[in-house]
Amino acid sequence: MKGRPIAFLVTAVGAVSVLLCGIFRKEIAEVLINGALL
Amino acid sequence: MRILPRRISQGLGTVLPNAWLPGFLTASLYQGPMKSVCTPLLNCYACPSALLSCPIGTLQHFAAGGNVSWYAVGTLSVVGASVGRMTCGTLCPFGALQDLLYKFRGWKASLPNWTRYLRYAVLAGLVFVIPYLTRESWFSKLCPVGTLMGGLPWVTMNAGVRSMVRSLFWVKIAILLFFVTASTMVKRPFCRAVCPLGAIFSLFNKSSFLQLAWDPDTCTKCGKCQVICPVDIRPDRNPTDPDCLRCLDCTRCPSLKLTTVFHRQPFGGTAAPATSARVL
Repeated sequence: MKGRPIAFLVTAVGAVSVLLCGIFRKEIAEVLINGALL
Repeated sequence: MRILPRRISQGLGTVLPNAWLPGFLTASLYQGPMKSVCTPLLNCYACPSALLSCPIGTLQHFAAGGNVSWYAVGTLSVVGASVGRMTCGTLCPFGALQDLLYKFRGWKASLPNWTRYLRYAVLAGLVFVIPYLTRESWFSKLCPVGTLMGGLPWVTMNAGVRSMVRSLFWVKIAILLFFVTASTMVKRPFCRAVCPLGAIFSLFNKSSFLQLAWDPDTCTKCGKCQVICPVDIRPDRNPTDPDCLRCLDCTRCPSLKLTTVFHRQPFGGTAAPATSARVL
């Protein structure tokens, strides 16, 4: 049980890092084009 | 008749991501900036009224191009780290449909335990590996949500699309009918056995910010939590079950409560959390 807050913090930091990585790689434009021009 | 609060949230989860009504009137897709946002729901972005993008469709699109969509993975990871599978239980339109279909009276059955591992195979195979190898989005081609929200409206509205109907469309219809029929007999068969989005979110259930807490001091092991659970699990037997949708239906029992990962004494006990209250 004691490790669970640490696991959450590690997961949250990892998740935000992956999201920022995707944003900096300018993937949003490709997601927009893929979603709009199916 | 008592309406569960999550029926309201499921209604909002169905209506709000599909609020582009001109799409149905003009038989066209929404192409505005909101399509760059991946919804944390299995909501088909080929639906004429869809405002947001499907995360599974996005992952497949990138896999088919030999890439990984860090944006989609990150979006889903942030949601998963925050609430675990809660979006499946409280917002997902197809989950809501399965919940309602199970209310039909008639013969009921339970799903074999091994089927819960199928969704991980679907995630790895149909969302990543096969699209990478074939350059085609194979989960989207077979997805019953896509058939219901995208395929059927387009075939109904557009003669050009209707003329392109081939055998694959009837395979998709058969898959949709299979899950609609199965949902009247089994609790949420698609979510538990097939949904790749549920497979992703279930990886976060143990470490998400929101948690469900169970109090063994007041629990009588009556099993009513399993009866009302939309995925047929017992919170007292497997406190960190990846199948748990965090729908909070079981919190009608005073032995179960929504808490956070930092709140280690949600029932106000003084003993160590491992003995006084276990976090689901």
